[in-house]
Amino acid sequence: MEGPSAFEKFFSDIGRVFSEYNDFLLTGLQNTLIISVGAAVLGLVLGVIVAIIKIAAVNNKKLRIPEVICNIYVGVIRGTPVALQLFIMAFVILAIRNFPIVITAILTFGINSGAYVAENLRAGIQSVDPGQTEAGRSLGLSGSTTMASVVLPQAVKNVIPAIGNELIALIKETSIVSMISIIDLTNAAKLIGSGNNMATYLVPMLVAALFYLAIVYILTFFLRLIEKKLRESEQHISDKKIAKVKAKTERKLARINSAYEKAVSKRKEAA
Amino acid sequence: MEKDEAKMPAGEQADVFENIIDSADAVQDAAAENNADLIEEAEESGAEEAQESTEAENDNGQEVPENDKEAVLPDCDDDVLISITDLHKSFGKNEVLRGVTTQVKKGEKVVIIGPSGSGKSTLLRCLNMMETPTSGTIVFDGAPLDPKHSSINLHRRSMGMVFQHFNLFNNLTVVENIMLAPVKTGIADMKKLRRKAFFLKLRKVFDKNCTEEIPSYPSKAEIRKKALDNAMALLERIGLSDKAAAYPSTLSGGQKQRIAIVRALAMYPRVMLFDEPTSALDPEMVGEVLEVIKELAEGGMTMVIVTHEIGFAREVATRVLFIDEGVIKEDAPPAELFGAPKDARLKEFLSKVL
Ligand SMILES: Nc1ncnc2c1ncn2[C@@H]1O[C@H](COP(=O)(O)OP(=O)(O)OP(=O)(O)O)[C@@H](O)[C@H]1O
Ligand SMILES: [Mg+2]
Repeated sequence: MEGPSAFEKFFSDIGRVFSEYNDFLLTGLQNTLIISVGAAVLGLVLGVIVAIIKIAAVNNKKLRIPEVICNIYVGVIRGTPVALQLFIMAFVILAIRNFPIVITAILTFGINSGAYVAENLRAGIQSVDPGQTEAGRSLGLSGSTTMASVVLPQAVKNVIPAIGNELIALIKETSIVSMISIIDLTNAAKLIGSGNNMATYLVPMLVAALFYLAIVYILTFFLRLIEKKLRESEQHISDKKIAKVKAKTERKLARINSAYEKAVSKRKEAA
Repeated sequence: MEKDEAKMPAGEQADVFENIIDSADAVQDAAAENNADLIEEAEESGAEEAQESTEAENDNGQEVPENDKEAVLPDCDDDVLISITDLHKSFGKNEVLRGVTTQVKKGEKVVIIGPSGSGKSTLLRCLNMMETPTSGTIVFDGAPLDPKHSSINLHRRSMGMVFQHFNLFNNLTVVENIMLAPVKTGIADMKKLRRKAFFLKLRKVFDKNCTEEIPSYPSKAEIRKKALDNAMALLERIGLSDKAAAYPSTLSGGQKQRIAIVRALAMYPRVMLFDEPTSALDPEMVGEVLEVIKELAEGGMTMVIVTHEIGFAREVATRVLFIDEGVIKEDAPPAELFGAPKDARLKEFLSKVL
């Protein structure tokens, strides 16, 4: 009956890793999350800005220089390994005494992910029927209003899957921060296991893997939810969906009416 | 349901549309006045730039005749809404329009016909500067259109456009489609007025002699409410109020195009431009869309329509333009143009389509 005892040992090892090293693991988890979330936010903001500049530059000569800068940014970031970018940021550009190293990591991954988000989003914007922009402009809406109210919402819907992939890749890529001595999940697992023999090395690694899996699962769940919500306007929607959209629109319209009545009564009071 | 509306006696619907136009008149006048103010303002700010560029040219030693611009403008007839002078448009080496000159008077219904690729769409799209002409001028309501100037957005509000492929906003429900432009432009105008009012109030604090009146402006709630009421009224009139909360993807082509038409009407345009509004429709839906356009015509709207529907052209047009090889080959009332065509190419064209 060797099997069960090996199993038992394995599970008790997992328990031990959790109980004895929970501080360590939690620090690792915390750092991984901080870096991922910070980089994702920065990446999305940068990506939107760069994509809009690139699209707007097509018919606006004044944006020629920003466009060139964006092209260089995207080209360099996509053409070099992220590990190298991390080294350069940590040991050259942000090699300032006492500069928080986690911020260095956030900036590196944010800037890196921004380039990919920008390319995805640009493709998404370009995939929106030009007739949509024409209709907006023909009604007298400005280019930016048309972009914000009509084109971007449709582009975002198209690129949510690609951006989701990018975010998932980003979370896993952050595991290289051990190279600049940040204790993230991967580094924590390595440190817990180090000094022991090969077999015990495995357990903390598996625990770390479980954490990554959980994070990616939760993220995927929310991405699906957003995607479903955004696909509301798509063809072949069920009667139930149609009723839901109707109810939602009616609530919106009711809000407009009530806001108006409030304004009117306020004006009467004032008079 | 929709069948019923389509079969609604034409006379009744016509009344309904005249009503829209009647009730719209007051608002339209107000809108036009407001637009005129805004355009004036925009042009004032633009005038400075123009002045600068003139001076720059003078520095180069070139002579700039003072009345250059006015010399180009044709006689300003009060009845003329759009005046097109020597319009050229090339795409690269492909010269599509080779000198088009014509005028559209208020209340006129101009139908444009011609073979495929002759430049009909290009001409129509030049009218509201969706396409930038290579040379030539378009004067709309007394003002030359400049695609690079911000006033173009104000002019475009007064020029409704209906596209072959409807181009309803896919991310918005029907009622939101109709409300978007009135709300967005209304709020933009309101913000401008609010800023003006704010600075005037500030000035009055320091300058007791300032007598300029502080402009009043609507609240966002009022703007939205007005847009909503108007949108629902328009939908009611084309018999599609039950589709207000539907997304365009769930509608038939005919419904989409009728909604696209009222979306343009929601801006109280002074002219409507139609580019083959029924070409993308299944045959059984062509009728319901033409019906809406006809009633709009009866209501007095100025219209420019590119179409292959010769029967429809005969019925609504006050004037037909035959375009071929980038020029107007024939320009006559429908009875004359279809009854006794002079141009050889037109004869050939008509023998094919009739
Ligand atoms: N954006 C563009 N870029 C390049 N060429 C264009 C563009 N738009 C139109 N053209 C060309 O201009 C010519 C005239 O096009 P236009 O759409 O005005 O024709 P049309 O008379 O409307 O034809 P149809 O009846 O097929 O709609 C065509 O040869 C077309 O290829
Ligand atoms: Mg065409």
